[in-house]
Amino acid sequence: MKRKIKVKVNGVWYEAEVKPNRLLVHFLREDLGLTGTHIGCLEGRCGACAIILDGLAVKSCQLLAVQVNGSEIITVEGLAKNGKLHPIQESFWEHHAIQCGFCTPGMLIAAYQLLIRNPNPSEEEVRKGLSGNLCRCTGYVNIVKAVKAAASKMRGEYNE
Amino acid sequence: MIPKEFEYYDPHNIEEVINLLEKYGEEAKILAGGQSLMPLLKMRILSPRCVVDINRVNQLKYIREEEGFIKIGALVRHYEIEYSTLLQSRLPIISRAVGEIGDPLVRNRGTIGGSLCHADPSADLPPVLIAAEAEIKIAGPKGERLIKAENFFIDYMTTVVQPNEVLTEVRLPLLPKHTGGAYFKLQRTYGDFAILNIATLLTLNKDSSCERIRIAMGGVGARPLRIYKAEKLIEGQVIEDRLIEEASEKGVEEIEPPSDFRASSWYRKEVAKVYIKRSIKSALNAARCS
Amino acid sequence: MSKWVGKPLKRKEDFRLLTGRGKYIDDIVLPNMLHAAILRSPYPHAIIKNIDVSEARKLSGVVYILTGEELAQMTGPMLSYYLLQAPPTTQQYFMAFRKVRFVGEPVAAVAAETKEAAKDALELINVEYEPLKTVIDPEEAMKENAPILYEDAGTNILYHNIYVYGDVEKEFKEADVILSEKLSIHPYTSAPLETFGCIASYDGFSLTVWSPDQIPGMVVRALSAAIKIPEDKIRIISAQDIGGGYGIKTTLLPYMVIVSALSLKTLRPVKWIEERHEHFMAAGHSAGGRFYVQLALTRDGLVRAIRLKTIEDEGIFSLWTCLYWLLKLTNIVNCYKIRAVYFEPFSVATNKCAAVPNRGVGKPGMCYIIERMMNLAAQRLGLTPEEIRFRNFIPPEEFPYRTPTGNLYDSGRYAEALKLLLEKIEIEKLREEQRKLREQGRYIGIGISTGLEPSVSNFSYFEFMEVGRPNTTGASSAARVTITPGGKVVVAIGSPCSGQGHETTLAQVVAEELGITPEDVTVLPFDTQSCPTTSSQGLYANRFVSMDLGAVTKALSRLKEKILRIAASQLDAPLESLTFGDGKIYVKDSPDRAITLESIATIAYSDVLKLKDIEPGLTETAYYVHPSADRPDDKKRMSIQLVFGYNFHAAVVEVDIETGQVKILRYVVVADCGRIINPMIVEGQVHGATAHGIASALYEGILYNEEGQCLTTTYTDFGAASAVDLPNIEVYHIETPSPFTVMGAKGVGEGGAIPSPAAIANAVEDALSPFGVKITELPITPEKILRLIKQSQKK
Repeated sequence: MKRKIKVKVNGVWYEAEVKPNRLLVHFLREDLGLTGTHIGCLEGRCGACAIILDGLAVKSCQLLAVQVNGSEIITVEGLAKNGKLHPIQESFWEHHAIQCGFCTPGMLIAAYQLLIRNPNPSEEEVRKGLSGNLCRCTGYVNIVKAVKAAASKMRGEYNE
Repeated sequence: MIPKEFEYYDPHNIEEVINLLEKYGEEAKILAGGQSLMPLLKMRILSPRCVVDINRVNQLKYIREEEGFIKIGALVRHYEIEYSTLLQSRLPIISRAVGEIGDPLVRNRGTIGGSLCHADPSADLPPVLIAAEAEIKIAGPKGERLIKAENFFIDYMTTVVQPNEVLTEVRLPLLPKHTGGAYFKLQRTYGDFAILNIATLLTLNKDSSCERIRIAMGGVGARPLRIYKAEKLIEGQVIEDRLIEEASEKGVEEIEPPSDFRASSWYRKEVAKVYIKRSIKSALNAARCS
Repeated sequence: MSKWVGKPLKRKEDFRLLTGRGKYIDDIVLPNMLHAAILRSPYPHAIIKNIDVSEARKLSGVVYILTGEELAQMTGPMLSYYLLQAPPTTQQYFMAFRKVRFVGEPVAAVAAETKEAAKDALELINVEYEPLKTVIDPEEAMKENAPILYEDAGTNILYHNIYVYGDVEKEFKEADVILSEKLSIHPYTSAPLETFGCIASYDGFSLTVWSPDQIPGMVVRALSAAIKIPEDKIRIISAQDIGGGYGIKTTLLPYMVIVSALSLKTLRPVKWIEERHEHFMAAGHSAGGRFYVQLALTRDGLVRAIRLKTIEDEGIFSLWTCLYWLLKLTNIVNCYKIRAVYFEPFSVATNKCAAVPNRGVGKPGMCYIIERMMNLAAQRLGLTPEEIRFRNFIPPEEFPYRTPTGNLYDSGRYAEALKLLLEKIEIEKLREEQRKLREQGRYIGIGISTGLEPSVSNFSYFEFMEVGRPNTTGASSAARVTITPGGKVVVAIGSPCSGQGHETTLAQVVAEELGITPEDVTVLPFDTQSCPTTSSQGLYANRFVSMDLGAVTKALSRLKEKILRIAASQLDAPLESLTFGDGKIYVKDSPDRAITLESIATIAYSDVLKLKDIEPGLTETAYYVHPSADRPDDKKRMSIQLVFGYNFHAAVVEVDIETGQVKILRYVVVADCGRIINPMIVEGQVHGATAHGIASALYEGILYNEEGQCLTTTYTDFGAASAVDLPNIEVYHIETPSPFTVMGAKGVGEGGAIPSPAAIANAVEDALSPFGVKITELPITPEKILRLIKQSQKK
């Protein structure tokens, strides 16, 4: 039996009727057409499906769509504002932290969460902060560099 | 990997939860953080008739100090325990251990209640709660009951919680002065299931002998165990290397760890010995500094 | 002075990937589309007695159910790509036909209105199996009484041969020292984050297939032969973005056939997306290997000869059972002047999923063998690991160097690279630190490994299968470069890309040649309808920068010639006086005499009367063949791969001797991939490949139990390495151009995965040298290390 949900995604309110067993990641990708969030494993390990739910980075394959009624979600499509990339996105670009791009949306979300909690992370803290996101292309080397660079850029912006 | 269809309920208070559980019993599964349940639903290892989503039961979301205990509501998320300044100062071992659960995304969602009820034998929290002599509150149609953490886990992925009951709170006694704790976890890669883990809490007397020590291990069998033999050797004694060595030898006598593709029984026992030693030393240092 | 080539340009591909606008196969939605799900065998070896789909058919939403039997009747057995023939006694089918040979083998496929209905239908299909005895271990499978997978073959040894190069007998007779060892590696997968998937749409006349396959141009003939639709009526469109391939995505054909068949039956588009556990179970793994190796050495540490018997565990793969051993012949002498080679490969079938190409394909195993042996030889002779290597390196003046097996190494500065590596890790300081730490009861180790990175496969190698001349020989690539009527550039090449930055790299080269900016260059996603291709072209074996770029630069040079002719005519200047730059063609000595590329394009396409004798249009298609590609001679020597970069690795580790755990303290690479076009992209490839090698040595791998069940079907169980488990990887470059490729570039991609397992093994062994421990097996788990330590402590 379907349930009505109302959820704000990237600043836009959506209303839909969903079956209780519908996964949030499928809802976002298929019902809302937001295919930026990816499915890498569905087992809850790889983090390619990470989104921000009510301010917290979570794996959207581990949630049911019915659970987000009344919530606010940010997906990778919502990180850039008015065509301007988020400093984390810019940093990933500058530091070649993207190869195939499949893990990238989830990585950006995890980095976004990390830097809110810890604006000045050490390399070890960055690696721990990204431990829920698997990447098979980069060996994480440039991703870690990009997140650290984004952190200092963002701290610099605070100082202005 | 899509869950089979199910009926879905999202009650807003404990009474509603219990009513639903009374009604559906074994055919219902409680959904809290979902980090353990969702994979089982997706792989269709579990296909319950109904899912009772308790995430909106706000009564279960609190961390407070009361009557000599730290009380944590069942729906407190791991990250809240990890970053709680109250717990970091009063019970640092739990913040430390919780910080090792899964990864940051898992910790944003997973709950203490859900993790305990899932009862994975190598989960991070159970040995800590056992060593801290925590108590677990369970609510059911006949009211509430309190179970010692040590008696909460009865078998592989099985606890004392009945189908018509729900875990509502974990309470940990405040630690006495001069107590130090240590938590170690053996895993292949970060974020993997632990092969073995250990939590040790040690309280020193004024004369530096051990007033009290509690050691608990996970990954050593169907459920986490207290390592009594090691504790008995250490309690009341001045702790020095030879005693620690003896305690670790005696301690592993009590465990019969399983063999699986992650590690053999032999390896688990070898590392258990090492971890008993290391955790006692580490807890001792922490106790001396406190 | 290069403007674009050699610069670390930000990638053109990234904007869409950063903003969630990538278009991967699962992002494609077509009207009226059905969803497919695949039923797989739960048995490792069984006869299929009956498949009953009647219950499943009744499920609401189910449109068609295809069984293995029905598909086999449509397609016949799988054909090898190189002969377009089925092997005579070891036929495989696209779905299991009468028999299943591994857990996970496709048995039936359902097309339904929703994913959910397709999944639910699988549970209602009733298959009756008669289980047969199973064999999992390749050496067991070779025995007399082993259960036979392909009964008509009568044996599980699908290939066996002996290759002798040089006077092996003499070298061993005259050797001062002979070292013998048994080594082994486990099956592995690079496990791309995006699983397999494809979409097929048949409208009654023609078939369109969308796929992330790495070799679409190569498979179109095999697809046509299978699905019985003529090639001119098949269109394969590559997914614009592919979430990692690493070689595994060269094997999508069976799924393309299954999904195409479903579309043929339903006359609707059908989409199939593989689930993660399916991928681990059935997509394919690298071949596990058992290696019996001997080195013949002089007392000065010169390796004169190598004898290698290799047993490659191919799982069920039987179409061409050669890749894992055959490619070992490309790096069997690695960077050394070894004079004689005895090579005895076995390809063995077992009840596991197929061995498929995976990053390095046999070369990581070979490098592991030779680099472990070099260290063991060094220990035996009292030399340092670096000294024995210096003594054996091929010196730079001997290039191009023909190895005993016939490979022609193009160029290399091995001694220089090793020197640089040792400098960067400060080897003497490290050894001093090692001594000090040992006194404190701490054990660090330094492991060095040299890794040749052979690239570009020469398909003449299929002659080694001894079934006649293959229909594909050599190595070739195609490209078309077009200047648009408005003066922009569009490039089409016959390969897709899965994250290696091909578009950016190509744009840099084109921009350099034409004097424009990379912004004005677009590379089309691969589509058989609009991109030229050859049968050997595709995304594999590091081919892009030597082969695809070879074709592009060839097309470019013809285009430039035509542009110059038009410009010369318009500017009334001699051809030799003109050059490209700033979007113009101008006279070198008086730059104001110029004409923009845009104006040239307008003339070429619109104001054609200005052209006089020159043909309108500005587009050139070129085909490039690698000049060194040959066929085997009468002594079975040939250049199996054609381009030889290399990277040398140093790992510094600390081993906790009480738990066996290994921590990587530092990891350094010196890489030489010839001329570098984009250093950031090159480094990224080195990082990623090295990460696979390190992870395969310490954490990741495929495990089966005795009953043939794959135990590692999730990322967690597989041991996937997170950012916490892998070290920072420092990369230093040397550029020694290849004399044979158009730009001197050699390509990069597989290389980092080749020496890394050996580097880790050598480092761990070095850390534990006070215990006299020898590492022979991969993976190197903490438990194995602890056992070795305890065993040696007992002695």
